[in-house]
Amino acid sequence: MNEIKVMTVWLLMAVTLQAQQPDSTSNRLNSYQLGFSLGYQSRQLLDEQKSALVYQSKEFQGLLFFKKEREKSMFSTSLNFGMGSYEAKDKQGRQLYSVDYHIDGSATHDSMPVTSGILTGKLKITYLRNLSDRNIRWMAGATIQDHLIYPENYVGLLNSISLNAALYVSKNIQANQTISAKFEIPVIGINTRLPWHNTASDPVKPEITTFFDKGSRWVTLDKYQSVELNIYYSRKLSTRWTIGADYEFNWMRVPYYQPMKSFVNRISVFTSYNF
Amino acid sequence: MKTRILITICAGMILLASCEKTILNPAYEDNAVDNFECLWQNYDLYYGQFLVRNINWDSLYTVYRVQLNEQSGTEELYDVFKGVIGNFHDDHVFIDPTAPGFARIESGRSDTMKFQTDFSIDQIKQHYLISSEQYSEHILYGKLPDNIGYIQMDVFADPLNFIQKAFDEILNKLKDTRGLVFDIRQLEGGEDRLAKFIAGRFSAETKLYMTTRKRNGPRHDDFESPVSWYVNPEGSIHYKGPVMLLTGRFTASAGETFTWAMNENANVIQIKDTTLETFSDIMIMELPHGWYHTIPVGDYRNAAGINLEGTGIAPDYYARSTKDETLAGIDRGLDKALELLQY
Repeated sequence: MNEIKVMTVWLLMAVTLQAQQPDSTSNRLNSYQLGFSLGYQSRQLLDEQKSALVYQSKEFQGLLFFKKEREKSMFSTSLNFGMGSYEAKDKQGRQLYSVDYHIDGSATHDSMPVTSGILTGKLKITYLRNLSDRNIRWMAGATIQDHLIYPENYVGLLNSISLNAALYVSKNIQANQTISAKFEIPVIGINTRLPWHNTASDPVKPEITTFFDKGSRWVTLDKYQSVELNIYYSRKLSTRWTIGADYEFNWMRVPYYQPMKSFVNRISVFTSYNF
Repeated sequence: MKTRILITICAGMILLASCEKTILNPAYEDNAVDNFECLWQNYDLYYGQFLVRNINWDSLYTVYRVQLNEQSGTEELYDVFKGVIGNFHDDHVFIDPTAPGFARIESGRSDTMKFQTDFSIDQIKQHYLISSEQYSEHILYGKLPDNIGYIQMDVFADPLNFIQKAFDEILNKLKDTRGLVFDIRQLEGGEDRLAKFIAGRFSAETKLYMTTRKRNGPRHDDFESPVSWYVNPEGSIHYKGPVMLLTGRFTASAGETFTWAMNENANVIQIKDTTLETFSDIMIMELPHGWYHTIPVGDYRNAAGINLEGTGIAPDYYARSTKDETLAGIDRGLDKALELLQY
């Protein structure tokens, strides 16, 4: 319930923010954008199937995108990747201690730090159609998405292929400046995470194949909840070049087998070439 | 206008940054009681051998839970953990504290069997092998007197394609030997699929050697459908001569499933000592205190449908060395293998 309240606040903020913008229109007939962004994202994750601890990542993030915009529609595709450190938030600097005993009765004491890294990726293909296009442009559509979370220690390991419902609003606040927001929730998908027993072994298949074979299942809203909100600010420097900033919030909950929950804050700057 | 937008965004970000507890809502706090509850619950949900080992997990909760309260310190928690997991008598059950001064808590034989007194690869190199090559970190091979081949492995951890290439080369070099000693007395485990593949290099026909099933639900008898494991001729080069498989109390996990697979091959004789007695895959969990613990999730059975957890695989011939004999270069297991290969 608390999560829903938080998301409601965010949605209201996004809509309010859009409603505050002055009236203007833009020329977007057959425009194409190719760009990239660089930034930072932090993920907080609790995967009770593997750990009682809240993990936090600090990830360098990059994104490549392509957008084709028509008078009444928009097609976009993007590839987002992140990599960085991944540690239990309140247990940083942990060490594992070991003792090796030898046949002569002596013992060697050793310790090693507990560290882990994380790789994340998100591939999206989105199609949106105009709902209204007066002062504020409202669009709705769908996204096909593959979202991968690959921590070295498997805490939070997940691959999710989903069909998302998408809502998009944008507003030109000046002739060369636009602010926009996009909101997505998955409707149906295939989630892959380690099975109940958290292992993947098979007489013939490699672990990765077994992971997908035994850990995949169809999910709908009751088994996979995710909300993603992006807020963009962009400024045209010329007819060819645009720069901007993007903030993303993503909340996710996978209630089976033991719950996994996470939220991500990402902030990045982008530039694109328009043609 | 821009200021208002900026303030709105910043307020939102601060709100989200401050609501971690609300959004994630961890089930456990880091106190002694919650650490115990978490540990107990984890085994209750995932441990695969309650029925095989006849463990009354609920009664252990009753016995140990009352020994802790929220003010109990780390030492009390450590002692209670030691008590509770000691009841498993399972070498795949252990807790790794991440605090200095607290040793790993073991559950099975490993708690008292700290080091290997009946095997020394250095002594074998010095007193038995007439030639040897360390093929990789985990594979050594060579020749013993009277044209006997020798392979020693300590873990099944390399990629399959590496193992394929390694056994092509090694078996090609040992193909003209009269017999072979395969020494896994130090083999601590690894991937069962690799064990199956290597055993297939000594196999002449397809045979069932193991069925496995793993927990898939909260009840102690919730298991997936059993998976059958067959040993069958693998790869292009096979060893068809007699093979003496040397096992011992430090032959563990995938080393034991390998022993099952090898024992289905007609040309293999198992010598020296019973294996450790722990077969199943394990999962690793973290407690609120940041400590790690392991949970065997499976019920592994041999071709006859018998679960040997807590028992181990007995050899065809026992041949144990004392510590003094080992240090003096006398290896009774290897001696027995060579004796049998004379016939």
